[in-house]
Amino acid sequence: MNKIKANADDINELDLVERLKKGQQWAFDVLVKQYQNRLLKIAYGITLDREDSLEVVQDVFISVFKNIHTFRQDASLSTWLRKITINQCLNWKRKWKRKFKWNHESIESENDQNLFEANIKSNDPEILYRKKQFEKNLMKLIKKLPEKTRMVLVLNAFEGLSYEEIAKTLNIKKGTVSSRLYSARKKLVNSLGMSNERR
Amino acid sequence: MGKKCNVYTSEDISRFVDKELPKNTYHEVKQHLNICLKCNQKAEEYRTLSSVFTDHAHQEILKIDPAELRHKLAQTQENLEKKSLRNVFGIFGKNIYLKLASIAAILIISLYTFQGDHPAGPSAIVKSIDTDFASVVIIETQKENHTIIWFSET
Repeated sequence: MNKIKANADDINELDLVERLKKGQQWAFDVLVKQYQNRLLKIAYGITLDREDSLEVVQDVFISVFKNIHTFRQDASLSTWLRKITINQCLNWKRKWKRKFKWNHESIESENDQNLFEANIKSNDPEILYRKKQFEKNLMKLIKKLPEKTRMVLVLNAFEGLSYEEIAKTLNIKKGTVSSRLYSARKKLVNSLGMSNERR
Repeated sequence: MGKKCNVYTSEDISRFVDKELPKNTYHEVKQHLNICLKCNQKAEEYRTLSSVFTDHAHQEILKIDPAELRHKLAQTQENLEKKSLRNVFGIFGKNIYLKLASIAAILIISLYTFQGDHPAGPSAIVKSIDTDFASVVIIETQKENHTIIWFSET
C-alpha cells in the first residue's frame, strides 16, 4: 500500500503526532482507533448520554485534526486529548444546558449491602438482577452528583489518575480532589444503603 | 458490624483506595484492613462504586463510525478553505469603492512622482477623496516632494 504507512499497532506517539501534523488521513484513523474508547468513556461519564458523548468525541477528533499544529508536546497526547474532551463536554453542557435538568427519578431504597458480599461472578439470576438494579440505582445517583464532583470521579475511576494529575487537569487543588471524591463516595454509599454506618 | 472504627476515618479509607496516603500510613491501613471488618467493607464499597460505574460506561459507549467522521472532517476542511478564501479576497469585500479609490490615488501619485520632470508646484493637497466611510487625502511636501497619504475613518 502506501510506503509512509506503518503498522498501526507499532506506531509510537511521537510518530503519530508527526504524521498528524503532516495531515495524513491514515494517522487520523489510527488516532481514532487508539483513543476513541477512552475518550468516549470520559465523555459518557460526564454527559451520561450515549449519543451526546459520541458527538462530543467526534468533535474532539475534528478539533485535534484542525489544531494538531498547536500541540507543543510538553504533555502526552493522551493528556492533551483528555483535556480537549473535558472542555468539549463543558461546552456541550453550555450548549444543552436544559438537558442537565435531569428528570427526577426515585431511587428504590433497597439495601444493597449484601449484594457484594455474594459472589459477584455468580450466574444466579437473582444476584444478576440485583446487580443490575444496583447499577441502575448507582447511575441515577451519579446523575445527581454536581458536575464538578462527577468529573473528578470520572478521571479517578476511568482514567486511574492520581489526585495531582486530576488537580492539574481540572485546575483545582489536590485537597479539593480528595474532598470531592470522598464526598461523592460518601453520598453514593449512604444513598444506596450499602453501609449501615453513617460517618 | 454496627460499630464505627475509631482508628481510621472513611476519608482515610477513600484516600487509601486511591493510594493517596503517605507511604507509612498506607501500609498501616493495609495491615489494619486485615483485622477491621468495618474498614475493609468500606474500602470494598468504594472500589465497587468505581468498578460498577466504569463497567457501566464501558457497556454504554457507542462506536464512532469512521465514514461519518471522515465526512464530518471533510466538511470542516471545506468550510476552512472557504473561510480562508474569504480572507484572501476580503480586501475587496467591504468598502470596495473606498479601497479602489485609495489604490487609484496611490497609482496616480506614483506615476506623477516618477515622471521626474513635474514642476515643483506649490500644491500641498494633491488629491482628496471623501466617502461615507472614510476620507483619503494625498499631500505632497513642497521642498522634498514627499508624498503623504492621510486616511481617516469618518
